[in-house]
Amino acid sequence: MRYEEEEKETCLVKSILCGLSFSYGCSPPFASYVSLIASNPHAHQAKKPPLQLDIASIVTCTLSHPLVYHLSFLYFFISHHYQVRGQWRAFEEMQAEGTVGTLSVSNFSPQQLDVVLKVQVDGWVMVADVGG
Amino acid sequence: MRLSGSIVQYSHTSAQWCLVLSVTSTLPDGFFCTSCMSLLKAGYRNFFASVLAGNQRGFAKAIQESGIPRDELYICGSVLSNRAGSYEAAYAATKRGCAQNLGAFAAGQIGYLDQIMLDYPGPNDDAV
Repeated sequence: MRYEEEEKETCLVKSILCGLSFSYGCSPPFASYVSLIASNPHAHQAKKPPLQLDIASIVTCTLSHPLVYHLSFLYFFISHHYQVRGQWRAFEEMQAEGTVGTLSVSNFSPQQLDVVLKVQVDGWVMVADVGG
Repeated sequence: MRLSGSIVQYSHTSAQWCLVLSVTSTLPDGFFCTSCMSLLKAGYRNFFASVLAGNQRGFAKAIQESGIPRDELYICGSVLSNRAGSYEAAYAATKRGCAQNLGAFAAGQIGYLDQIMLDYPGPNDDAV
């Protein structure tokens, strides 16, 4: 296997391991170190110098990997999803108490509006100033 | 004080025109109460009293002093809870915001809002 191909494959494996480790709570440098060892155990025997722990390339490679990208997206979606749900739950309780007639939002993006529409019990959502 | 108004057609039984007023003020409640009284006399009936503007108490007092029946008015409040970082924190902050609205409007014996608005979503907006 040519060195470039080997390096490419190593980078791919490293990204996957780094992404998985990161998703399980490991810090990126530690995850990268683990993945470096796992993906290239015989680096000292190669003619080319072994792969160096280059944080910049590891971060770039990791973030650009589809698996990591989707994990990050999922993490942020879930975290924000919960926040919107928390806000909206309090609003719906106020409406159930009979102290307000209509619930509305402002500066929500279309994606955030989707979250509200999914969790709302019933009724209308009035919208002002749709955000980016 | 900055006033900005727009006229929209309101699907009222009498097909009246309804004045929609958005008011921003950092002035004391007393001054704002007087100004709001003038607006009520001019025919404004649809109000958005934002918690960000801090005019809810003065507005409520003006409503009370005007003697205009509550069912002729449309009042909207707002809640600012976008700094919360979790589900429970967002819930608690929004609950506090709802209570603050009702507390401020109670200064004018207003115990019911026609509408309440979340001014901003949670902190991770761009990531959604």
